[in-house]
Amino acid sequence: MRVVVTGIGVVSAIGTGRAAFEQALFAGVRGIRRVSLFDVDDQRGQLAAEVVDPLVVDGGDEHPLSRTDVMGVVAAREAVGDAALPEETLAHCALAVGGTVGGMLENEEYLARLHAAERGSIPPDEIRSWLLRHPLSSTANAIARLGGALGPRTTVCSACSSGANAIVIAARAVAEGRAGSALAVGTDALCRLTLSGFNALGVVDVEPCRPFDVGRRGLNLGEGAGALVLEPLEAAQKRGARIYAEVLGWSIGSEAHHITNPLETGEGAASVLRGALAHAGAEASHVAYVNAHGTGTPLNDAMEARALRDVLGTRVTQVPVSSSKGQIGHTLGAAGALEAIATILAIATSRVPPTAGLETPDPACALDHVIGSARSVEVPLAISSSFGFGGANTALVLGRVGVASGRASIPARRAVVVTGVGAATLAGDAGSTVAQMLASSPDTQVAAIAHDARVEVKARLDPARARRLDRLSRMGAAAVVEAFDAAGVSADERASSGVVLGTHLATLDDSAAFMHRVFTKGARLASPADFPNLVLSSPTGHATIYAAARGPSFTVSGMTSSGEAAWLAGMDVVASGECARAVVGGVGCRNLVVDAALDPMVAGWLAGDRGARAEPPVRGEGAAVLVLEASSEAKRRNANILASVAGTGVVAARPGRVVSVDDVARALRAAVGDATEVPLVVAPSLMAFTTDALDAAKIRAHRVIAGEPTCGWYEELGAVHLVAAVRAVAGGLDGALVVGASPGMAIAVWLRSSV
Amino acid sequence: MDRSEIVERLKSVLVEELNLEHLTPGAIDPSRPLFGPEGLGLDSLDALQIAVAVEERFGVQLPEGERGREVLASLDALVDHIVASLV
Repeated sequence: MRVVVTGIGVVSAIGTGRAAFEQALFAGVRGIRRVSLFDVDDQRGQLAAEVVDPLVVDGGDEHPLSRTDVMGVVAAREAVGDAALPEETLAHCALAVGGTVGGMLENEEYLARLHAAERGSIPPDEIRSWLLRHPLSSTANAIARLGGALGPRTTVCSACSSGANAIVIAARAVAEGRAGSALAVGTDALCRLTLSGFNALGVVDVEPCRPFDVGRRGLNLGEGAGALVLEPLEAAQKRGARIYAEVLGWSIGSEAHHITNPLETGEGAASVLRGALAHAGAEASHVAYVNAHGTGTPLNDAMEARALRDVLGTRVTQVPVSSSKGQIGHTLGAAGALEAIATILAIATSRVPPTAGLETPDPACALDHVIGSARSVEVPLAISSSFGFGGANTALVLGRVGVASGRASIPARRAVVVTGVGAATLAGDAGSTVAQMLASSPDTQVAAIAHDARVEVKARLDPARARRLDRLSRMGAAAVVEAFDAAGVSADERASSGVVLGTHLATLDDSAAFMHRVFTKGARLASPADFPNLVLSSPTGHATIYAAARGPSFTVSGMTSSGEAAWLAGMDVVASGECARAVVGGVGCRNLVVDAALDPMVAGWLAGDRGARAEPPVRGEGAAVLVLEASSEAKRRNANILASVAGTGVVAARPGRVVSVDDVARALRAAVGDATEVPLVVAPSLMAFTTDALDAAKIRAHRVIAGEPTCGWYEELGAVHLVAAVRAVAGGLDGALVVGASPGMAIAVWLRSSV
Repeated sequence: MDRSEIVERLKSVLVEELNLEHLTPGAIDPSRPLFGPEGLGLDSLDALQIAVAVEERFGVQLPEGERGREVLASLDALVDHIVASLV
């Protein structure tokens, strides 16, 4: 189906609300000023595009909201109102949210205190309430509750391309008919962590930034949120909706090069620019405007200009290019969404905005720059580019309705199979982990309390190549390489493979250490090398670099169903034909925050207050991944097929509620179709909850494994369940059903033997 | 602190700060280039980390721009800068 944009919402430093943003955007207004949200006296660069408009969300008192949440909700509400979606459509509207910092601004001081071993001084209740607004996925829950999009939720992080990838996830769901409408949101608040980090990397201009200028010295951070309502063209036309533009195509790629620096040749960027045009059924000669990533850093702008010259060829002198970052700053996770909106407004109003701050273009950045003021020009088709840390690149092709063949030419979803698994847990690799899980019974599940155990994978990685990887990324890379090897994926084939990892909080302890250092030693001594590892997309980026995987890659986050959420998002990328295969799974590591929240539970259990828990709470960590591959690709290369994906089910909790037995039952039913008996169910730790859901769905299970394995519980454990189920099917079982649940989502995956 | 003491300390700092687990401090040749394939293989991100570590541990700031690159050409050049700044 063709996908169109029918609603827009904006929070930015140059205006809140689409109308104010549009006016300021084309007038070249700059929103860059000295940061007032927090003390910046010891920061080298002190300017940023801070949102100064008051931000109010009524109905937001019940749960704590972060500034990131509030901006996301404000933009989402405007977009939903703008689209005037009927209530019944909104009730099933899919939601994709991109971001990088979540509730970091509010929680930085907490983190530093936790790092300084003041754990006992913070009441566990306070830590638990803190956990509600910190995670990246809290924004999606807030938007569902307060913005009204009540369908399945996905939270995506690919650093500075997160907002663009939220649009891709939403657009793909609509294009394939999986969602009748979708809301894509990118949102990020300023915080000390990102300002200190980008300053440590030496990429912040102490003056207002000058993208593509010969004297450019770096970027200014910004904050804000962009929201877009997407729906099928036919539905929009039928209800007489205002159509801003069509989402014609997209491409996601990884450079597999460096955790902060782009490939200077521009090859990585050029590859997604070409890929997005091809996906849209368009040619370079159709491009009438490019809204560039254009950060203002010496490396990015030269690289991007090179890529654009490469892709546009001789037409490069006739295609106006501008960057919005001289106006709204680099809004990180919001950038892809806000800049797609700027591009859409250019298409809709036949004007292209200027690059504020650009006076004398750098010869190394020779392009048709829009300098000084907006230019009136017809824009039938345009590109919006986003390039993130770790080489996570995304390009969107947007245009007037029908200007290119767009998604109409894309074939139906492909069948997907599993061809390899990998793991790095307290039990070891995939073989040991699965053996332990499948051998479990109510008796063997009782294990020693491994509350301080840590996964060690040093021996599985090349120390020279792994030196930049933190503990979490090492677990992820070890598992990803094991899975690629197990699936017999060659080096050439890895180049067309994606990596989609799920994580709830990633390396939260390292963020705590980073902030403790900033607070005690000053921002000047913030660690440049540690900073890029603090974003949720980092384990995925490191895995792509270590394994040389250049396909679509990003991180998803969904609390206790992060592993299952990665499975769904990765499967969509493979099924849609955007890559031959993707390694998907979950990575999680121990952290002080969750440990502190669990302290009372562990202490209580040890003291005899065992409640319904047959087993002691065992805190674990690890990575578990699977190679999801198009069935046709797997057959073409004669791969050993471990299992086929027979069905999936996704059900979002009702607004303001946590997932119920009924929600899980509906997800199970959607996954298994009309099956009434399944040989094996692997489920989260609550046995009673699982059996109730199976009863409610009228599914008889021959065996249920539900409980914490001896490799311990962690939020991404669902990926281990998926690996165990695949191995059980590969070992001769006819089918296995995996259940995942988090407060916001119920997910079910039905695997069948491939024969 | 004499020159050889600074050299030895810097070697350990490099291994620790840059996670050069595959090297032992003693194996680092102070005259060898720090950057590029013919040297230790370090890059611009390592240069930033070295600058922070030197400032924190020796109280010496590294210059920016071209002069900064010269100072980081090798361990010997870096030690020269630290020695000159400490006098």
